[in-house]
Amino acid sequence: MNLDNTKAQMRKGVLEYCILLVIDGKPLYASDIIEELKSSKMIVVEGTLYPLLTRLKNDGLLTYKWEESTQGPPRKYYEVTDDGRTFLNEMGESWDELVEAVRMIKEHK
Amino acid sequence: MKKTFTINISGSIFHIDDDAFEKLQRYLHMLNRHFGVAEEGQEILQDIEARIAELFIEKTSNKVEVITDSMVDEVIARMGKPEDFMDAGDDECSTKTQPEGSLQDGDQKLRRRLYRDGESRVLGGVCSGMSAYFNMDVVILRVIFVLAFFLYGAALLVYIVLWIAVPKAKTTAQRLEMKGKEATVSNIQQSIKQEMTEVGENINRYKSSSASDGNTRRERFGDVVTSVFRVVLRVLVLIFGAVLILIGIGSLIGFVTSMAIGHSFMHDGPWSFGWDSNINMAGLLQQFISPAAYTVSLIAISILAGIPILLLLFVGTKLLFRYKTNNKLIGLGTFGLWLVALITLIVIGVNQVGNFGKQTSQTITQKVDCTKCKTLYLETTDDLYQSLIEDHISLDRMKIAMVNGKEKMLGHPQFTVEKSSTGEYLLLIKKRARGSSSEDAQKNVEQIEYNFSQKDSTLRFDPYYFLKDDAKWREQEVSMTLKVPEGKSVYLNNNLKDIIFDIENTENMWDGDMIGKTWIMTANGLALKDATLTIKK
Repeated sequence: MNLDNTKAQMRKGVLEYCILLVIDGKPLYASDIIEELKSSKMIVVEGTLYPLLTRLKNDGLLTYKWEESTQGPPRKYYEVTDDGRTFLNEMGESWDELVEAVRMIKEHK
Repeated sequence: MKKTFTINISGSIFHIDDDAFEKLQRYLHMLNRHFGVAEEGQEILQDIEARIAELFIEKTSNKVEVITDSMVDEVIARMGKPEDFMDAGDDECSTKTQPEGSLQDGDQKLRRRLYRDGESRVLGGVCSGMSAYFNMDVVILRVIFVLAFFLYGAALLVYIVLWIAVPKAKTTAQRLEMKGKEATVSNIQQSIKQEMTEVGENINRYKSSSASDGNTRRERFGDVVTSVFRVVLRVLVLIFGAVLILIGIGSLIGFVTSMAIGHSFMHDGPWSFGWDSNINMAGLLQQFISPAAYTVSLIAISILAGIPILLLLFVGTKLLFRYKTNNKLIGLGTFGLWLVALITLIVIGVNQVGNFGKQTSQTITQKVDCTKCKTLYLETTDDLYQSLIEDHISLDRMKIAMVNGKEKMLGHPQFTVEKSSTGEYLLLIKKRARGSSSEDAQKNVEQIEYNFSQKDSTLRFDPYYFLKDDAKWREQEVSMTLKVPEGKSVYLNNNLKDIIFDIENTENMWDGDMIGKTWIMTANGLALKDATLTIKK
């Protein structure tokens, strides 16, 4: 079994959740999100983020508005929608359940 | 020393090295292929381009001004290649959008596509886009287009069709495609060769795959068949496209000349290429369509015939140059326009028929003052118009002649001889015309101009009657009857041949044979005066 592949699969599963978590609270633009995800080692290459952002937006979980920037062209600032917040809460619960389940299995050994 | 390009990524200007430019171009093309042409894919691409621009701005902010090869490498490493992207979505989708061998393709320079260049545009960016595609100076193209606007209005239509049909280059990848590898014959050849090699590879793979694995073998065989099929199809499509363009250009030239310069339109139909006539479509229509409907019908005819021709050109260029378009919109739009033109023409046609509804005539009886003479000599004046008449166009009995560059409508009158009930020669001139009402028909009768003159015992007829300038053709006709009293004679000069019509005579002779002879009116009808003369002959 390929260890790297399994790790990548695990990360992949929670990546969308993490993106929503990062954006939740304050509007952010892509580079801010990248900083956050990179520092927590969730993503390796930046190109990963953009298809996900577009998909989350098209699914109605995210929305964006254009904002002027002091350096360079205007930027897209992303925000979590109400639907996105509901999704986030549900995902949060199942994440907690998952962590709890793993913990229990580990301790029972 | 290195060559530098100036490029625009997501609204920011950068200077970039020659080799760095090539690398970036390949990378963006790869991404473009990965994400596909759908709206979603293009949005992702624009976002990524914005990020790339941002990274370049960071890198070029301190001292270094030109983007180098290593900077591009760094950025690509940061952004990652499509296969590095973790796609959390359904895997089917990602395999579908990433065609096999996209990396291979990424290694060659992009194939060129036709786009509109929105950044150096005057109107729609059609000319600037074409200049990029054909490697021509944009100024030359613009001058050609502007000249064409003034010479033929059709050029405007071509421009508008291109404006609608050719997509604007939005992303940097598209802008790079716009200036990509030229679609020259050798390049097309090359791309076909490449696909041929692919066929060869597939066949080899098929051979090498052992019979033990039935499934793979079958799949490989499928690969071979599809790749062979693809090459054949591509060649056929190219040939078909070229043929369409040739037919399209040919018809366009034929059509435009028939509208503007003129050829035998009525006789041979709009697709013939006869150049033997000086009259044009517009001039012809003017002769019988009322002024209000004239312009509308010209436009309608242009659209009716022009749209199929432009569609031919459009499909042909699309097959050859492979640009992307909104086919549904273009199809429906042009079909709608075409239908409107057809209905307009039908309505005008029905109205025109109404203009021929009533017929009226006007007869003038003139006494020919020749009581003493025994024989009346009949002849016509010289025919000055024969060489000016357009042989191919005739409206019933009338013809069109070009006199000093202006169309003039004329026709031969009909001349016949009958017995007079009085003791005198009488000339009856009957003018006829049609119109939407009796009054209108009467007005149209008055548009006829016809003259004859008498000198002693000679009657000289004009070989033609004319319509006054700006009069419309409404089946105007002129017929004349000369009443000859019994015992008196007429001499029919040879030059009467064009106007005599069905003169009854006791010899049952055809009109053409009656000329050049003297005829006497007897109780039984017109008889040859010197019968013995003809018998001798």
